[in-house]
Amino acid sequence: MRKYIFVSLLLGFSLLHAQSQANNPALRPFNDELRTILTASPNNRPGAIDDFLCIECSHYNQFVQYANGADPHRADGLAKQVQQKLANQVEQSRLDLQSGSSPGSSGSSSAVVKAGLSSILSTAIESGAITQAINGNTINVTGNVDAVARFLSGAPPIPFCPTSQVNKGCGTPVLKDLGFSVSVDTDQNSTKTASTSTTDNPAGTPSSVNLLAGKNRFSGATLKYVFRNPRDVHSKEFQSQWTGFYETNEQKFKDAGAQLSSILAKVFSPIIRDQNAAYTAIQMKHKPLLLAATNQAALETEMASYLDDVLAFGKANIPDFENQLRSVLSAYMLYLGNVNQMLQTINEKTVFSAEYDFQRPQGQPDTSAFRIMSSFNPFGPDGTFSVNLAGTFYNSSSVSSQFGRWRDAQASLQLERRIGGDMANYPARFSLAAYFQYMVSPGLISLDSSNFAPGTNINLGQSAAIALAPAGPIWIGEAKVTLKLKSSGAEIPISITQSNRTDLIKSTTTRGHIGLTFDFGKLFGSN
Amino acid sequence: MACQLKRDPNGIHRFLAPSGAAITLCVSSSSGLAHLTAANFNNNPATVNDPCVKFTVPNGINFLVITVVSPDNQDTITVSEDCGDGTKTPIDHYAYKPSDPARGFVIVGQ
Repeated sequence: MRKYIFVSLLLGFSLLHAQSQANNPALRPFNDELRTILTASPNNRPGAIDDFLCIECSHYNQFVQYANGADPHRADGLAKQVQQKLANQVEQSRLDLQSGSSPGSSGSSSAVVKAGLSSILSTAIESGAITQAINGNTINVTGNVDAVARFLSGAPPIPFCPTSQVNKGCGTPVLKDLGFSVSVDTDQNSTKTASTSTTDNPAGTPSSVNLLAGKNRFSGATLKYVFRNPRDVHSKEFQSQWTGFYETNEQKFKDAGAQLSSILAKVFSPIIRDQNAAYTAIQMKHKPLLLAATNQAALETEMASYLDDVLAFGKANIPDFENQLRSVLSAYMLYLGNVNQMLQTINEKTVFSAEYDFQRPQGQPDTSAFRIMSSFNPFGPDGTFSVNLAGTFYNSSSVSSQFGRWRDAQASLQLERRIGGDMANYPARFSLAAYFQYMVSPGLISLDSSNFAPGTNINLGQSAAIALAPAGPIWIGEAKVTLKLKSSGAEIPISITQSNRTDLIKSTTTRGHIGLTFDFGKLFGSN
Repeated sequence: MACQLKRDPNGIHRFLAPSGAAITLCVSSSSGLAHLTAANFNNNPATVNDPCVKFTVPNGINFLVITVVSPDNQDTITVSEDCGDGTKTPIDHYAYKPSDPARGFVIVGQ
């Protein structure tokens, strides 16, 4: 019964909402005003009509959209052009993207996974290893499910976001926050020899082992979901942060406001100020007609009639009217793009995400890792702090029945800062990271059939998993410089790590890592 | 000193003020988070001392445009005249629209 009541309410709400939308597409920027007038009580109706008639009060943007309604393609073209320009600035300034593979992968150059998601698609070629015993070479492809689906269906990967949607977020719900990655090992040898520590590893461990290595093989896949954390604007914490944030960015807010207000004043002064008597006469002529319109169809007709009159009046009195309308629309797009980007920084300051990571580590049994991540900016917009917590377990029941299901637990953190330049244009980033992994189960290796059983001269004859390194902690420190190749979307991460051991070999290790990443999202709108 | 802005009964959201009057308008919001970011008076930038803007009304039709920013999309903005005697008189009250942060006022100096 409750289900039917809920469905009825939903249907009723939908019908009410549908009725309140203007049937005349050009009038849709004024949907809110139409709804307000239609639902106003008799006492409030004149006030609601006055609000609509007062273009200069707060309907500049809507009026320009109405004016462009006669030529929507022109308006969309300009809006898309401006949005693309802004989108590129935003993409270039992002510090929360993870293009490379996770630290457990054989070719990773990152000890910490960032919480953000590529806007479209990114690729990474990396050489090195963070927790693995042997270095590997991996190609990693990371993508946004929504953007890739749009691209494959022939639609623009980043959807055009009209002004009315700017604050609601654009893209397909859920899918726009869902990411994936696929990794492939590119090593050409089927085995690699790794030296072991005869003093630290279990008795009978050979001085070197042949580990199964990748050979152009699929080495892992990840599914990531980004949970954003919009702040409660009414909380004391937010109010305090907003005060600091506004003070820091005050000049930018002022510049954006000054630019917009000066263009509006310039464009609308000829009709609002210089011809105020005639403008007021148009308002007064239409007020009784609007008051007399009692149903939606009549009201829409009268609203459009008034706006058409003001439009004709504007064309007659505003020099170079068409270009002036374009400049107003452009000013709004730039204002909203700049200001919303700043507001988004504070409203969605902390990003939480979670991922499932299927791994086929070289020479080891398959594993699954669950990771939660967060990225935030405790020291201002130039730096990003990333934190990861993860757990890994063995997929194979035969392995887990012998050694236990849980392989390891991980905790890591990274602080990354831009070096020089501004938010979008800078030459490099520098980061320091600390990584801790506790091996709950011993490090297992998959030996190929050419190996001998440990401590014997007996050939294994078939592949087998054996415990190599004991359970215990792994500590890793990483310093990384990421060179940014201007606005090309390409970056070169170079890092060095120092660890007390790897997952398989119990001896201190110092290694270098290098990669090449390419983010297609940063190319978007760069022209 | 009394407040000087009055509603013009012959216009829609139009205000009257004595010529030469020095007016101070201040912005406040229900969330307490809104800021007055800019103002333009008769096609010239007006000096903003957030949350207030001051200007002198010349004779004739005058056009003021202000821009406000708030992180709260549901904010309600109140524009009040600072009467100079410790009191403020609200002259405008409106729902903040993130997609249109500008608000205009026609003030007739006479």
